[in-house]
Amino acid sequence: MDATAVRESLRAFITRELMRDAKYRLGDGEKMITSGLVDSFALAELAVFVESEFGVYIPDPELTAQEMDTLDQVVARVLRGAE
Amino acid sequence: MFPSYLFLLVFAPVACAGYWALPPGRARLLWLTAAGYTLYALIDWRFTPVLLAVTLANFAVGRQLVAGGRPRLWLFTGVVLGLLPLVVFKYAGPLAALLGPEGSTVAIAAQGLALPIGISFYSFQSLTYTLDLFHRRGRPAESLLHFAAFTSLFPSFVSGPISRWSTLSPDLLAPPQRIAGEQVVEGVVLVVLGLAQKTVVADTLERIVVAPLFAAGPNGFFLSWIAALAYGARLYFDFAGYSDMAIGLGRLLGLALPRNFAQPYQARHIAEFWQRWHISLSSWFRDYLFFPVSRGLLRLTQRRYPDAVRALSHVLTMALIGLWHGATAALLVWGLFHGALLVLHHQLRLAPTSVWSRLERPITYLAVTFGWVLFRSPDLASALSMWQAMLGLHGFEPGAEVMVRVGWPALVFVLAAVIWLQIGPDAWDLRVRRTRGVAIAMGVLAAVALGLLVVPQPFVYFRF
Repeated sequence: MDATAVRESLRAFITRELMRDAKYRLGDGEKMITSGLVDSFALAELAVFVESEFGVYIPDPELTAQEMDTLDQVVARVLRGAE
Repeated sequence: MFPSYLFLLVFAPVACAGYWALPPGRARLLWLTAAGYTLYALIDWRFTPVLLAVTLANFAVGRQLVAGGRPRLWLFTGVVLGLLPLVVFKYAGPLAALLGPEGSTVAIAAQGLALPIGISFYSFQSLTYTLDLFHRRGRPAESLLHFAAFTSLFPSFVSGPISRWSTLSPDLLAPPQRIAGEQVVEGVVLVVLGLAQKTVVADTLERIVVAPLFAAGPNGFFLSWIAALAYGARLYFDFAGYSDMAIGLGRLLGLALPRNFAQPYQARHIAEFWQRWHISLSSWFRDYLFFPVSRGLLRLTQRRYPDAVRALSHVLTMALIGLWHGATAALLVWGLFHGALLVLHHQLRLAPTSVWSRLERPITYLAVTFGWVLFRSPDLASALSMWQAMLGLHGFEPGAEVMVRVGWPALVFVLAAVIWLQIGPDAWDLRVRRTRGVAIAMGVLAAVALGLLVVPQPFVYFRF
């Protein structure tokens, strides 16, 4: 799985669908949930997107601000699940 | 019981001192469990079998989950058994009444059942054992005593914060030999600040503003808003005060209970409010209801209607949060009201950088305050009447009448409380310096808070 493609696909989905601001340039290490850019309820949509796009299942208890707060964390979790 | 001299000056100190006097392991677990059941018996001994039944049911299901085989069946069994006492005691009467004459026998029988205090909290906390084991989070209980200590933890089983098995159980099993001095200071400070929030601020607001204005019946625009704002402040200081006391007592036992409030009235929007208010409950519903429901619906619809799925999941979750507080029409409407606010927030799609999104913060505060009317009013009709007044439909009182009815001191007190809630930190974030001056100030605050406990007022959330 190409890490760069995963990253850009996730970045586009998060800014367009979850933040509703496609022009926003989300940084790799920028905090999404604890900073209020994305609310934690939206993690369900992110998880289903990851499932359908990359075939990686992330269990509900892992959908937390601690584990999914930055794009880096989400990408790492997807790549780990794809191994 | 919790805000009383017996609890604060006798029970809690003895329970904490006894815990540290015993060697870590079985003796401490036994002590903690005995303390929890003793406290429950002091509140009402008839409730103790309910706590025991909830504990045994969840423990038994946990054993089956660990044994392996049919995990979904055991999860379902665990949820049904774990919530059964809550349903019987809290909802059987109202549900039977809905059935009309056919349900009248059950409704009458249910009226004779006293609602066990804390059942909504310890039922949910106990259920995290089944849910965490199902999701393979945390290790199974070492013994029934280990699990019983978790479900009957005396600082929190009556009104939370609701802990998760996977995060709290290791600390119960392997506590340090001795408590650190820093932890004692932090624990005592949180207990004192919590008690002060309760007796100095919340009870005073209730006595001088909330109770008189709500009892007066329909007011005009200004008095209704003053009453609602004062009640919103009172509710926060009451419940956050209780939570700080519980967390402080947890620290005195070397246990890290979860944060329950994070300056909720400073939330930028309603979704953030629910990440800051009663965090242990809202995150419980988010993790164990909202996520499974919304993920299931998104898969079912192949992500074609994400807005509809999100809206439905929010409304369902908030309706159940409303009903968790009590089986009344007003609380159900309160939940639906918040569900509607969450749907509206997401439908507006305000970009976080837009100018309009900045208006969301004051609007959120006012909307939440508007909703609290449902929490306080005895029935839906009273709440609707007050909402009409808050919309100006009952007229506007002249300033002189407001001054006469409320009075300058009370008005200043409400204003100070509201401003503090908008800009101030909560006790969790306060870092108290260990100086003589601070120690004296804390001592004075403790004395004042304890002095006001002469006429103890129960915490609002105890009735849930």
